[in-house]
Amino acid sequence: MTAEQQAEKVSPLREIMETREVELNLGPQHPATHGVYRALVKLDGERVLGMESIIGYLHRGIEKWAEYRNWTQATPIFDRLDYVGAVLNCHGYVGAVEKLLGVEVPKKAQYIRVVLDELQRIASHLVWLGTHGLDIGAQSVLFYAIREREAIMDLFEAMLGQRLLPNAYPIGGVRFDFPKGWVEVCRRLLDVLPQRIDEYEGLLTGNRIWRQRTIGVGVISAKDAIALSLSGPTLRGSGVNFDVRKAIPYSSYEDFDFEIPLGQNGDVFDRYLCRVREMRQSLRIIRQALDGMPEGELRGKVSKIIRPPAGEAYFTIEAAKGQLGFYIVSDGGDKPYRVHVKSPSFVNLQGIETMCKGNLIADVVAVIGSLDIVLGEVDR
Amino acid sequence: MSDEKPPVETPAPPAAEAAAPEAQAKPAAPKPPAPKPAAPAGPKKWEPSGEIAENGAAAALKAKFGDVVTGVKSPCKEATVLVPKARLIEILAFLKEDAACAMDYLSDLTGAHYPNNDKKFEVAYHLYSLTRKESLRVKVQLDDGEPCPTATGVWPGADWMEREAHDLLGIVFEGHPNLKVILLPEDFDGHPLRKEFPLGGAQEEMIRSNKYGKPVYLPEEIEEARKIIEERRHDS
Amino acid sequence: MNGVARFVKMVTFWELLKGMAITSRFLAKPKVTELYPDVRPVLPYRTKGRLHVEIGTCISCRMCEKACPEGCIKVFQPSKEVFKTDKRPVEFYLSQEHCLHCGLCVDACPTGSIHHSQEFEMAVYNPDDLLFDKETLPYDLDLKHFRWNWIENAPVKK
Repeated sequence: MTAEQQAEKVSPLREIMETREVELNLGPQHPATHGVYRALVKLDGERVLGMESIIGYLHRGIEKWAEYRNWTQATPIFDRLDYVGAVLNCHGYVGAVEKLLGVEVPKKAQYIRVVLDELQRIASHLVWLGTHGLDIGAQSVLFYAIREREAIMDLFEAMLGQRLLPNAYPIGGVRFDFPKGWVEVCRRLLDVLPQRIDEYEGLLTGNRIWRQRTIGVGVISAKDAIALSLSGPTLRGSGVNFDVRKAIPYSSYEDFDFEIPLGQNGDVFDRYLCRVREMRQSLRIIRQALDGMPEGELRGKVSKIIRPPAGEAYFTIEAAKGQLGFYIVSDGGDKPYRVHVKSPSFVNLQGIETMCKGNLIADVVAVIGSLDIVLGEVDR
Repeated sequence: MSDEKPPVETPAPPAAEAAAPEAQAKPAAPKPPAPKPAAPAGPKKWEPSGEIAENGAAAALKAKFGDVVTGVKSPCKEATVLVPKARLIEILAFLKEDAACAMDYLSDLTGAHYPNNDKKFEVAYHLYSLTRKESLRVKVQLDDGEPCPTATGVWPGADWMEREAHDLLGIVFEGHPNLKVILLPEDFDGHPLRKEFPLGGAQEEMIRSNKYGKPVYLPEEIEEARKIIEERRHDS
Repeated sequence: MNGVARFVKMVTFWELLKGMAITSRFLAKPKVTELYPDVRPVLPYRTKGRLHVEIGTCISCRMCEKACPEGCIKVFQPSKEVFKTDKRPVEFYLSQEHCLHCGLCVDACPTGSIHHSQEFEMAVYNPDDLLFDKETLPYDLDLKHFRWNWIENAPVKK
């Protein structure tokens, strides 16, 4: 066979096997996207060249909904933003209204809020840990993480009456004190949880499969992370020391002694370590808050019909996902004029393109998991 | 009400009487009630109450740009400045670069619709300085349909936030690299966070008539309410 | 020495064995799951289950109706003549279908007549079955399983 004949034979194949960019559609219904999130990934072989996020499948118009209810009635809807960290959302909104009203929350109520917030943060991180492990292939972590979360949910049920969306705080304080025996159960949980976190770390941190899947994957530098307004463990994984609890203390967080875990490389593994260490710090905070629980009132002086002065307020808290901000505008009436939620998941999801560029397609799943997005919060 | 000015047609009272408005109001009682102070033309304008708060960044900004930057009242003492649209990007870049401000972190960017104000839209930038631990709110006012210069050149993180404001409020950000819908469906008509947009959207009527779409808004008359409930029971 | 230990760990898949050990330890541990349909859980008294209204103590002030964010409560006051002696509502409609279980009506009630019960099995075949009126609203509470949470929570003013 001559060379020409050979070329003729090969050429049709070459046309078929021509190398070109492939656009792959990931989602919106995909088990690894943690909800209805769709990504258009541009691929060269297995390398990611570019990525476009398409969101909005879960948009419920919460901000518009709130404008049609009065200040008190709007509280329960914000639980539905980040539905695995509902207490924190409620704290954000209620805190914003209190700031605008100028209400001083009693010290005891602030401490109770700190306890519940930190429990919720642990619960949210446990869900993240389980699902993130599941995404990468470590299945057993999910069962253990959910089991511990269940204990926290039981505490919520005894304290607030609901497990997932408890409508935790009224404007001005908290509804109830801890029920009888609650603190003892909570302390027992605090004793158990460090060992359980050791177990998760025993399953994951040293595991060579886990390390190979996460170290050096989805890297974002500190400079990029700040420029993209990332927040929470996603930002701290890159080594930026910004935690709202320390930077802009609210609800008596300045009374507690805790550290902010920081990463160095800004990869998936660092973000994982940050969150796991954050759980331990949360346990420290809860213990301090329970030990130093002051006596006093549960609710500040708030009238039944709330009419904040005309103006605007911006209140941020450190939610499980990052900096959760509420920008509320009042016109002096009994309804919110405008409520805007700065949701950490929404802003953090912006960073995904920078993180995924140059990585393999399989790492996209790891990066989505490491961002800890909740689509209810992204789409609002 | 006590210190309200007397109607125009009555002669201006002497200063002594004005100091005691209670005494002056009593003889006026048999007269037809004094007209209330002229209601502001049209609906009420939105205006913040409180006082102007200052902080380091706001002071540095005022020192550099002078009269262009004005303070805005805030009921909870948050430093807020209002800047003109024409120099917005210059001011934002200054806030980011200048060592006295160092506002390197864009915490939030959003807009609000004030249909009764002269300028119908406001865009608010919530800035935070990671090094100096200080926050500042920068506001810019816009007319309906007036484009706002984009801040993506200063903070790349403004990308999605601006897209969201464009989507929900219809504010156009000039120079934005990828200004398209983000939260709403691509064929959605209107901007839901504008005040004239009804809660149920364009399909509001349709949703109301839907049997299971919305909470039961029962009529005020008990007979009608009973009838509606009977009907629902019969349907099932 | 350190290098040797690391080499041995690498060859023997030490960290993977450690993970396996953690997992296999749970084989001997007791179950944490609940056998729900067979064994009914006893819920804490603050559980926000289905709303329950004591028509007998209700004074038809309509505070719950105003407090509800979803408009699922509708109270009809009696006529003025009757209201002087008997304040109980003529009709009380409650659409459990749209209830958020937020507890704002319980907060608003001045007499503690409306409160959450521990009833949580609210699945029905027809959504209309979740629309209650005065006759269907108070149901027999099996006190073995339920305790009314207003006894401890709602401040009852007299």
